[in-house]
Amino acid sequence: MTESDLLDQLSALDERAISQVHDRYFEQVYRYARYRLGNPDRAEDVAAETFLRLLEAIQRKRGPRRSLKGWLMRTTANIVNDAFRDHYRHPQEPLDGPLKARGTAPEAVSDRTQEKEDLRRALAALTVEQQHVLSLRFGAELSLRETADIMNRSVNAVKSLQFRALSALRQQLAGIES
Amino acid sequence: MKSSSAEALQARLEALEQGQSLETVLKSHPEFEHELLPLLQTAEIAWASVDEEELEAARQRTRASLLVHARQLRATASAPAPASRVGRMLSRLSFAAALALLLLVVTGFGLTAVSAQALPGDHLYPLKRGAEQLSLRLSVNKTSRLRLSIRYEDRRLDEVRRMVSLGRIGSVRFVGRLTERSGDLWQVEGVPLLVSPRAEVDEGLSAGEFLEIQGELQTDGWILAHVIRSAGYHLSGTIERAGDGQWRIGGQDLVVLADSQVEAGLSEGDRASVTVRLADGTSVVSSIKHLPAATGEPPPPVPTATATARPPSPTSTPSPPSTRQLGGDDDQDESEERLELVGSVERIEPTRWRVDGFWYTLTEDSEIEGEIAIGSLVRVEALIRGDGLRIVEEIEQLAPQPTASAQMTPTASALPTEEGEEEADQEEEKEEEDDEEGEDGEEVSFTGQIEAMAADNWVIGGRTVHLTSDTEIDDDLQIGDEAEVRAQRQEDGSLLAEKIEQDD
Repeated sequence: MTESDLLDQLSALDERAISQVHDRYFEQVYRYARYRLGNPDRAEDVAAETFLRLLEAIQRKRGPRRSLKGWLMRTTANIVNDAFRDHYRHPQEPLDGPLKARGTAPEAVSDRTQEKEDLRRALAALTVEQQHVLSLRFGAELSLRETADIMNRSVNAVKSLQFRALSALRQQLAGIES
Repeated sequence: MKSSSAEALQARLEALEQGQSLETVLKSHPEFEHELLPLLQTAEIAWASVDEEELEAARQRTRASLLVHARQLRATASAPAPASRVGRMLSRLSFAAALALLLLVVTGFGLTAVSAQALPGDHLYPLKRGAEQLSLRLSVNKTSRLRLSIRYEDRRLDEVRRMVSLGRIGSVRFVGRLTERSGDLWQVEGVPLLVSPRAEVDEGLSAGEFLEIQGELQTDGWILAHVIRSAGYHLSGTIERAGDGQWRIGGQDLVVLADSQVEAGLSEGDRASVTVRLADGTSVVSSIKHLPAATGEPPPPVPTATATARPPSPTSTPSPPSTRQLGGDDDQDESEERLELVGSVERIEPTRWRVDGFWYTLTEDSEIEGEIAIGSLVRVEALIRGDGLRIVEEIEQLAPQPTASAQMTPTASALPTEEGEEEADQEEEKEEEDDEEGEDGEEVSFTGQIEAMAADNWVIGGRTVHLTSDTEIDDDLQIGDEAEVRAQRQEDGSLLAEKIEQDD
């Protein structure tokens, strides 16, 4: 079924179409949210909210007109950005996952787990745009062209942004390690 | 950073993605090893792996909840609609009102507990509006009806404020006082408006006047206004009669309600300045203040903020607006309210900043901490004056400052913005990006609208350009003007402006 057919059936709230859309795009949405938030429960909440918003937007005739994937990834990014904003407003509510920062007993945290935690901290220190491109490329594992479409930039611009983002991430990781 | 480095990085990343080892990838092009090795090592760390069981469990749970929600939406949408537009309006009203009455009788709670918090677009919102219509119909006393009418109009404004804070979108219609106006950027009691170029706008609207606004709330918290109509007026004159609930001022009969703000000590024969709002076709007093005899016209309740023609010098602090200075806590007016919030900086102007959709006015006493730029996350402490103006006490940077190469306004195309964007505009912007992407040290030229003019950083067409004492700038450039920029791209990707001139 083409994307256009799927969207038509979504507006009719057809359950088969809903399941198909959900299963087709869930993994990328979830991976993106998981990458940025580092917490599986929150990532699941964000993914669920993304698809809910899709249904409601289609009902209000404000759904995606061209790229369903682009719409879903942009919505996911917006929800994640809102989550970070809420985190700063209510700092007593933890945003990150159950992993502990440095200082936990070494036997409780494997090297790989610590590496992931350092990565998440380093990522959070980047600009929103840099987080976005790294999350799309390395979190959701989208291609360069897909990333360019979602970010509404040219492929060359995404290559440059990816380069700068990785450089910035490298600097942050080096700072954390030292 | 040279574009060939970015190309080389991408080629190496693709090779890694295809399963080649890092050693193999670098062996094939040893000339890039020094530059790319750290980045490729970082990329290897950056690549995420998600547990398949975790993924599958989350997929099943979210699919199940989505299908439940879809069934609820279907159930809500399945109520039959009458054929005619009038019939639809009447039946919606009567159905909601009847349901409201039923709930009132059956549950005894009243509708406030059930639907009071509903916002436009929520399933219970028609119920809420139905209850209001019912209350108005049941109100036989004209004064009570007027008070209810105004109260419900105030609710519309509160709903819009909540929708803005929640990041909701949708059509809105509300009444409020004009508190600020600068070109096509207005503010109505704290709600920011962008006046659409094709908007129907009544003539002669002045600050402090009540307006009726119809528009579309955007995801960035701004309302794109399509209709702005007068919903009140200012009046000055002699108090001819000051009866209970009915005054006559300057030849006009006005209703004075319990909520009307009447300055103490006013009596017949005094000159007064009145702000009137129209409710249910009746002129209702919002406020009456004593008018000194020598003054011909009432002073404007709120001065209009205007942008300066040239940016202040890099070492100067923002000049204060033409409002009275706030004193310390001892001088705080009882009508002022202190607030503290966290949000993203969206625009920076010499005398005011926009944070999360709200404008905050700077004074000489305002403290700014940190190197804040557009996109920075900040904590704002401010005073809300009785007229709705927000005066900054302190703005403190929270999150790390965006790097110069990534500075953009939240509505620029590179950041995820509203769901379902105008994709035709995006294509055009993409083409511009392709034309202008240059290498370090290269000259970059582009045109765009001036969106912000901070001391040594301007935002033009969504791009931040840095100014120095050598930058040539046309006189009289203001925010909103179209400008042509010639700049040099720096090593970190930032743009150093050489010349900024009016785009003819």
